Amino acid sequence: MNGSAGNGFSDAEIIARSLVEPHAFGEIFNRHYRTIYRYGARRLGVEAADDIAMEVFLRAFDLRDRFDIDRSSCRPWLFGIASNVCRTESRRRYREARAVRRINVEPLLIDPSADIAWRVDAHQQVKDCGLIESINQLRDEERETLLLFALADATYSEIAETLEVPIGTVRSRLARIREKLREPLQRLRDSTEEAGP
Amino acid sequence: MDELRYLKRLVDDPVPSDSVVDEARSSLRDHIDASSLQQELLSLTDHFNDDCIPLPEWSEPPVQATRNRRWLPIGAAVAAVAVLASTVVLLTDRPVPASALLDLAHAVEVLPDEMLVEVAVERQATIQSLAILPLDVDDPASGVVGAIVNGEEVRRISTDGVIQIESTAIDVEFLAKVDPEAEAELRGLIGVGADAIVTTRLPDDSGIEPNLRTEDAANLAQRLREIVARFGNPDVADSAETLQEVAELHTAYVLTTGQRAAVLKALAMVDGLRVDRTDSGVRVSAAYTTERGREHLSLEFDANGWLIRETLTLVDGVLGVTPDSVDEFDARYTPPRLAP
Repeated sequence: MNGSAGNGFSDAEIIARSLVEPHAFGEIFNRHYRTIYRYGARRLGVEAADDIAMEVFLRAFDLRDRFDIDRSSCRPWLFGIASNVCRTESRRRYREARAVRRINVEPLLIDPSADIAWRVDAHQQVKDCGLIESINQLRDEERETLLLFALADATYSEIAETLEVPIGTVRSRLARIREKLREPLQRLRDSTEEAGP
Repeated sequence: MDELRYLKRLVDDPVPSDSVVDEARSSLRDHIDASSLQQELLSLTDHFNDDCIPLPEWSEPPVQATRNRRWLPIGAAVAAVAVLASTVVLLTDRPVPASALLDLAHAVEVLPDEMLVEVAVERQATIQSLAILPLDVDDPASGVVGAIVNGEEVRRISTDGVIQIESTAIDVEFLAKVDPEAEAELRGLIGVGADAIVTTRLPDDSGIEPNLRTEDAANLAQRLREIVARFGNPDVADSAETLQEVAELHTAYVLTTGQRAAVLKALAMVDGLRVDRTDSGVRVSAAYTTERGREHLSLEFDANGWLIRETLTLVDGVLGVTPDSVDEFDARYTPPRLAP
């Protein structure tokens, strides 16, 4: 599946080539699968990550003719698809959770901050320090920015491309988020340091 | 250390095993092969005239195409049958023209905006949801049973986008016979009864694309289409996923008349939807297939463009657990009103 496109070519060049030589798309998988897997695992759990990552690459292949080849890297585009896949899965889980209130439903399952809190160690300490409440108070565009920054390891420019906003907006959003989460994160840091290794 | 970098450091670092990567790579390879074959077959159908039934040109594909695919004629024959079958479906199941949506959109956009979101509003709903439950809560290997949970819900939507949902389970109907003792336990665990009110704050569980809710009406339809075009699933992109986005928009935010009209206009532009007029509005439906099987999603709008019903039906049911055509989700919403 490697095709002849590979190292030395940009993502855009590989995707363009895959339009006439479909198996060249395998190089996109090789380059980015682990990143997308990690993002899916951090958002919805390791048990769902393989399905999410797989769905992202199947969609990406089918949608590759819509990729803007003026953009060199396809990571922001893949993050966007991954965010959509995660949201769809979240909706499905939420509907299921809504029917059953006291079993099979972790409280965080229907808590949007769970995207982050689930993946953070010392879960109880996260709850105690008020981080979840603070994340709940973020605006939706701030939360999506935080998810991409913290869970996808996306760069500022990649977040900007994914959300289709200027990079300055990303910087200002993260500055606001930083300010809003400063106190609970400081409490969390204090408590984890007290607990010791 | 910077606060957000500290948060990143706390996040774990999941790594897929080699077998997971290999399996994913193999699935993608199969998908690419299937897609390539499909493209070849589609290119063959270009020979056909729209007005005539396909003739067996299928059995004589270009030599180049068959060089490495001796089984292509068989696939082509199957595809020809599929083309014929889909033609029949299109002829016999043609939806009402999307003009019904445009008619409603035009009627809605001239309505006064009676519900500017300066304060909290609430929507009430009766909701029927499918639940798959373990027969013995303490024993995961005990098997499962399907149950229809009937409930009521009040969701309050405030100006800052925070949604508070108060839900009550009214009753539960099991889809198979359950031991009375187990049934009593499951009822208790589901929370049937007046004491089962659960309040949840869902600021952004809607999953709405950032900023979508604040889009001007003029941009909303275009943005909806762009989102689906860029990130949607091509198999269902122009139908089910658009409907899902619309359902989330309507249940998470209080849309202006212009936005409601824009949503209807966006739906009118989407291929693959079935549109039916109702007594006072329209119903828009999409049929599609997921890994769970065939599903049918339907949204119903009233004369003011409010979403008043959302239904998701599992056409094939869940093997051994639920019958076919069971509703996984059936919600009837009231239009928003000012919260007391």
